[in-house]
Amino acid sequence: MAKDWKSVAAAVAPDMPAEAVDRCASALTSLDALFRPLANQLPFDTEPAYLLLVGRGQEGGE
Amino acid sequence: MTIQQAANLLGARKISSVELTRQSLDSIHRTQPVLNAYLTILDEQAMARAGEMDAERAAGRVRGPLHGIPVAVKDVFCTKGVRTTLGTKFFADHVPAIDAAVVEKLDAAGAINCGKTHMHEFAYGVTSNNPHYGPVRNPWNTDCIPGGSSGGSGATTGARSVFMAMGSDTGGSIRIPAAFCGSVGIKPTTGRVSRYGVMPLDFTLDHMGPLACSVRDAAICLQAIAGHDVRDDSSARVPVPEMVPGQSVSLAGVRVGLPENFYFERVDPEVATAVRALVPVLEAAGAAVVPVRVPDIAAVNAIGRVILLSEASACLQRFLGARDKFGADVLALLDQGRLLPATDYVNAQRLRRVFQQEWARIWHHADCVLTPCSPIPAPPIGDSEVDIAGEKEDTRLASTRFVRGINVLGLPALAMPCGLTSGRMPISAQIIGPPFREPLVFQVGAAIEDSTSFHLAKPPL
Repeated sequence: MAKDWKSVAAAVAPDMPAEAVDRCASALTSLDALFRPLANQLPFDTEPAYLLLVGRGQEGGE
Repeated sequence: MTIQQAANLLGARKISSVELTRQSLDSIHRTQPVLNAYLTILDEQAMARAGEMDAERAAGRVRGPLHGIPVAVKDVFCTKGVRTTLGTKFFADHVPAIDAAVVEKLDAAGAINCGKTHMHEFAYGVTSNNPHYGPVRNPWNTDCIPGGSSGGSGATTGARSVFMAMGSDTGGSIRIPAAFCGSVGIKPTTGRVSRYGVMPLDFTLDHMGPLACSVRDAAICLQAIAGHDVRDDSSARVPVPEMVPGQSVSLAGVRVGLPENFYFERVDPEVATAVRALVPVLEAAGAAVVPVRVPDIAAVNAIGRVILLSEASACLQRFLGARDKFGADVLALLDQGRLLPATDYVNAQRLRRVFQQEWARIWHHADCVLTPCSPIPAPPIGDSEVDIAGEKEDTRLASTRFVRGINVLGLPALAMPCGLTSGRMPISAQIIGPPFREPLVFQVGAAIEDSTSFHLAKPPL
């Protein structure tokens, strides 16, 4: 089912003009149709690709 | 003339850096009214620097192959004391107090910065049709886009005004303008080149690299700017190997993968033919061309779009209070990013790991992969849709279809000319390598260049 982008915008970006939300809708709906099945089949224990670099900048000597 | 040829002439005192730089500035000024490739031209600074480089050479100090070579830098790289606009109104008068790491390194290598190249607003788009500073035009056909976002760098290297122009690449922004303008462009491995001092568009997809006039020139420039930088959290602690291929290149033992799926689907027939024509060239150089099946790149592109929309909107959110200062296309993308849920962003980064692992299996069968760089040649300025073999496709999505996913995967990828269409517009091939194997990618590119003359074709300017 396609998302209601107007409701999403009202919740997270209430300052966004209605015509801007309308312009976003079709692009986001087609992206969502590609992305949703991928996200839904992710194994639950897959970690994100980015790294948390604990201590970076506190190493000294550089 | 290549950088090595120019360096030889400089070394033999047959030309001076002052003369080379004057030639570059003359070419820049001659083409600027047509191409609009620059936002700032640095006449006085460049000529003064060229004089200094000549004096150093006369005193016996030569810094390397870029000593006294005229170059340019995309206007996304901070330049100390020189306006850096990002192609946006928000930074119209921004004069940084620092040089970007890449600018520092080019300076240390003796390169002469002739100017700051024009670009898509905030580096967020592929057309370089900038509503604030005017469109950049393609030197092969000024009615066409140069690609983007590094459109000025593509146009000025395509016009052969400078030997190299720096670009940044978040979803193809080095390779697309290189492809559309007949230049060579390398998007290095994630972490290979410091992002310090570059105004970010995206925190995990941005890459810095050169656009140049030949494969070896691109390699010389990447050699100069690569290396670890503690000021950039993504910078890799890996050694920088010799990047520049030797005079004679053999590809004996090199397996070049040719995709059976995705990369030759929905492609302009002239593009597909030109790229496939490289197979016998590679085989003649000693390579084995082997079929490979690539993972679902359409999925990788979707993942990349979710990451870019989310990160770019987070990065630029503080400017959204002044909506009227944005171009319509950039504002629309920023609005889209604001509406994506955080869960999608996190899942996109998780999927990124899955597909990085899937693609890595290709390296069991091939040492690099050959693809078209863009499914189309440069389209006309203002066309929001392109026609590919009778099917309509959004210009941005078509232009990024073969390149965006490589940013998600973090792999090095070289764009290089491999022919002209019947309408005399450049066609480009892409060579994708394993992480930190830029030398191999350059070697394969050099082998093609040594057996062909595509890189010698010049636009009708």
